[in-house]
Amino acid sequence: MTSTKKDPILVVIQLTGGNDYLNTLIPYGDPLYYDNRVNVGIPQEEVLPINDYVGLHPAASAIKSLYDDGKVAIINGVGYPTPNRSHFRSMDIWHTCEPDKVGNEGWLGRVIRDIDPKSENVLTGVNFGRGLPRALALSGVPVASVAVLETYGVLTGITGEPERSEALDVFSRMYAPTIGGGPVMDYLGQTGLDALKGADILKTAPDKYESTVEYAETSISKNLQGIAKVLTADLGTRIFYTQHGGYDTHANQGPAHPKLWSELSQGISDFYADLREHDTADNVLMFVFTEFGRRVKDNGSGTDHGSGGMALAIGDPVKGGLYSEYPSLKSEDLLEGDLHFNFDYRGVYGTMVEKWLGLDAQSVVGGNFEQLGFV
Amino acid sequence: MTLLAKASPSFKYSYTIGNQAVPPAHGFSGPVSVAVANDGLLYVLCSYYEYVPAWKFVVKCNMDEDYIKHFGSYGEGSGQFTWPNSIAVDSTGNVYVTDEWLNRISVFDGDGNLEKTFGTVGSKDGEWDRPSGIVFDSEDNMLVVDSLNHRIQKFSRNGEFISKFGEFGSGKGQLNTPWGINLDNDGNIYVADWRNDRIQKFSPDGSPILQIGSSGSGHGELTRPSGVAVDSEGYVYVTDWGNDRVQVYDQVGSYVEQFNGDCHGYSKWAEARMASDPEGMSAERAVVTDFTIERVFFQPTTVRIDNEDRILVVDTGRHRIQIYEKQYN
Amino acid sequence: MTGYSEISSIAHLLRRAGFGASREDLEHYSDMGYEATVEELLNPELQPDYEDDLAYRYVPYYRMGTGIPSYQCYWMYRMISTRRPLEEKMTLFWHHVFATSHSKLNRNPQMNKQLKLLRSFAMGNFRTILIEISKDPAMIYWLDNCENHNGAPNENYGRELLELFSMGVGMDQEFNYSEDDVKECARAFTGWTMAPQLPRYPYGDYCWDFEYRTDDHDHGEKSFLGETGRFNGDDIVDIIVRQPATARFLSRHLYNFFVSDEPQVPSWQTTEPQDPEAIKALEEEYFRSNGDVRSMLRILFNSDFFKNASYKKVKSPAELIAGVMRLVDDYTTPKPNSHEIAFAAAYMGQDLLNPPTVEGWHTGKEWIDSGALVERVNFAADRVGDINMPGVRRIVSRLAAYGPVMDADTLLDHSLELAGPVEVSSDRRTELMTYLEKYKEIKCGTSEEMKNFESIVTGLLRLIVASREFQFA
Repeated sequence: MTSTKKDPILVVIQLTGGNDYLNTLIPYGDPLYYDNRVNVGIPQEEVLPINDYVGLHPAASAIKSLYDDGKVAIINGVGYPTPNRSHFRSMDIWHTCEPDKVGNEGWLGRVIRDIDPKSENVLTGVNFGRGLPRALALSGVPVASVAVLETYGVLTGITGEPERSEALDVFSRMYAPTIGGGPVMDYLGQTGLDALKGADILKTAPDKYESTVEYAETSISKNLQGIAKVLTADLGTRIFYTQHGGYDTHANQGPAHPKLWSELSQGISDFYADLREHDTADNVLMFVFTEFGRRVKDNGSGTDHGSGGMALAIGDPVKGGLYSEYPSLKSEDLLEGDLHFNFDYRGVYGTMVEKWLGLDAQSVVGGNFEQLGFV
Repeated sequence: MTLLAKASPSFKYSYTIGNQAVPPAHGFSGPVSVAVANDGLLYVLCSYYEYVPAWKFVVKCNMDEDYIKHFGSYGEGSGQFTWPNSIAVDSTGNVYVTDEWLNRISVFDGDGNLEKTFGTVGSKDGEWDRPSGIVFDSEDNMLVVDSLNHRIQKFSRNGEFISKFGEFGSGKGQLNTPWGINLDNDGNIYVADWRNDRIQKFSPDGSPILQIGSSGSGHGELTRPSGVAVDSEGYVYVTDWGNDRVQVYDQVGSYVEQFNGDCHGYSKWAEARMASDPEGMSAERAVVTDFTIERVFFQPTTVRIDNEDRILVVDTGRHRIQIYEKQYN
Repeated sequence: MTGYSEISSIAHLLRRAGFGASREDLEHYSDMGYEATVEELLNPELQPDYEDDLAYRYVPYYRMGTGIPSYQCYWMYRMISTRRPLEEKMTLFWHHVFATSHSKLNRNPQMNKQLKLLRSFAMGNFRTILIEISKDPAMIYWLDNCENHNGAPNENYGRELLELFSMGVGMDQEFNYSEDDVKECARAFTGWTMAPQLPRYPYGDYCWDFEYRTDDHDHGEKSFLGETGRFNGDDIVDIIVRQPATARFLSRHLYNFFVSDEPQVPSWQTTEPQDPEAIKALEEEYFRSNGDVRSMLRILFNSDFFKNASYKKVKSPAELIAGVMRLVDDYTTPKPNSHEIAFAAAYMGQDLLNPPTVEGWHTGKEWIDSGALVERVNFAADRVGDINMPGVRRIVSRLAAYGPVMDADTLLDHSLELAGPVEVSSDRRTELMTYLEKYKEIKCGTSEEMKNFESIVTGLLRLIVASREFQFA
């Protein structure tokens, strides 16, 4: 645990589309990798070696540096029983901790509820993106979804002043408590004012923020910079969430996958530097996951949906290194041509919930699962 | 052209080009039109999702299913497509794509470099409202279906207006939201009179000569025909879009035969793709006994004849081109 | 204002039995009269079918897409453009009740096939509806009836058929059926499965078809709700539709969807209907008509309890979006980028064809959280604030027709009227007036004045749709 009194913060980055595990942490020491990855394999000499068996993709060099500094835990073979190759279903399973039945409560929704049971802070959870990922959804738990921090709020289509201020003034009057409207009308009023309040508080973040770190002009970097602005503004946000899309590399993996990892690594690395600059790196844990890995054998120019993947925990609180085993590539060990998962994702969540956030893991992830020592 | 004297031909499925994929993976996604260039190369126009910009494009390939290149994407910028409808190649090898939303034709060289775009919305001579079908005549003039003006316009290949014919209606020579267009060897013009459920044949100067088909799904009947082609002997092939089939008529418009699609097994690109067993699908496939649904057409949109009289059917919903041949015993 | 109450009641009817309507459509229906409009809505076959040919020509993936957004876009487009609004609204109703989710199916056109089925029986007989949905492959896979075998039953479908699709766990504090009934129900549906189907590669998706396997059906005797026999699935449905609980359950669902927000379904065993008389009238019609949904709807829409329920129900995201689009007359014919509208529903918490669980979406007040409210307000405000929208232009011209000079009261009253009519409390009216306070005289006589007038009106329309009242149907 961290030695300071700062509250622990979790930043979750979802890689949407199914990141190709085999081409991220590359088992370059295994000839079977090259047998299966005839078209999209990464040549041995380009791999950034971690040991004699595995190494990171060359595009992930910024993450490799963090790894070398002991700031990155790579968790191998993460997955869940009975793999599902649907993006939606698989992502739901990750979001709800319900691999067997369809659930609608998000695990981070439960985390936010446990941190702030009375919903005293409308910004305990903040999502950067549009629409609420199911991971954050829980009835009665307010979470702000921010597409772009600088323009977040209601009536954002009115850009001129004083028109916008006047419109917001009317809006706040229209949502102010009134008598006799009934409970739903009252609830709407409260929600509208919460939204205004959230927007008003968030609006202050960009002005407070100063940094020498120059982020790239990519969506992931912009979102991470947005998170840095809110995080360093000390608004009490404990859970941040954002996504990086495009990992569904059925085709064109050659250029597409490295581009994604170069963007992601640079974004994470800049974000980490920004946290250090603001003396807040010690209380922020980043967690990177994806819904599934991809098929062991490539399809000519890309890879199709598979199972078994990896997750990353990054930051000062992390004990760096490799965790869990890399699943075997031997054909007899594969499950219908996919890697066999060997570590339950709920144990990874549980590790963070318990050892980092200091909450009860069982009620969040729905059971007792083996945890790891990366925090 | 002489009247058919020999025995009736039969039409046989030959092979398939394509499978569902997005470039640079070898395949098509929602192909809607194909042009056969003088050198035999194919330009296949694909119009798929709007929510993924890379999913509208042109693929250049050959009849042996060798992939050459692709170009274009979804959007309103130069060289992009919003509602691309049809594709044609002029004698110099330039490629023309009509776009019904942007009301323009984009002209590319054979390598996919944009040469120019043109088009003005309106109903005056030389203007159009949703250009759809396009074909070049033997003099390299361009015939464009002006679909919401319900007429055909002829332009030089530089885009200068030459003439027009057709008007809205359901009578002889009138049109309703026409789509595909093609020529026979004598320069007669065939138009897929889409919302009138018929094909109309016009003389080279635009006089109506013949109407083929009527509304329905029986033999010879049509539901929203989208494309038409005529082979060297005058057989007329129609993509009967709303009935998911192709119908064949003779020179006088009598029904000859229909094909429903016969794609057996895998095209070359599909073969390569399936070698990796995407998503472990071989197990799902192994328990299927009836493959009819895989063979038949799904929303076939365009039909073209190549210089060997082979019949190319653009099978839009199945992301491929099924090729048929005419045979005499 | 003349005709105000008539337009107002027609607008209420169209918001509930449809997806809202443009002012021009409201006037058309108003000329027909309320009851005649109800009959037209109840008999969609009298109206031209939706013009699929145009949609498929310009947007081919509406028919043959291999991604689920294709069908979300297509459905949203239908809701906005159909001339048979109640048929489409009932399709949405059944999607709420028989909530099936693409997420598990992972077979892209399958949910579209289910929608076609829902649309085909939208106002049909409830017995037929239950049998047809039991044969729907999407449902079969979603609730594991393909794993429900002779000798090895899987109870999932049997249970949800009783609990969520027909009877409900209980009513009037009692249980409607026992655990044994669930087991016997499941046995009766053994062998109801789908034929194996080809996977999506290499030529795109295919749908499953229903298959009944008699060799996998448990032909033994079953006891279900007090009756005994060698029941098959359709025999079970015959017994179900005779139950008072079924009449109650369907009536409450219709009431909840069309009249006023009830508590969520799982609490119906212990929560009395808010209007027992209304439910009783619907139950009686259910039995009188032998479970004819159209007859129940006729009673409902012509009732006082319906007519008096204006603006008392929270709009679902689909209703809000389609209603706004109809008001501004956008996407009423095919147009590119319909995904922006379909995705907006997901941002507001209603990912169509992908409900969170078999319980469907939690509705009413639960549509609203701060994120969803921001999306709702901004979506509506951005559209009505766009003077290029044909419907907005028409509103502006109609307002301008009241004279070259008008006071703020006149402008506000007519704007509220043309935007709905939207009924607001006097407090809200006062608050909206503060926006217009600074304009002593509002002019639209000259083209210069007209420019200014447009911006005043669009600004006002933005605030009207940002109001709490506008969140209600």
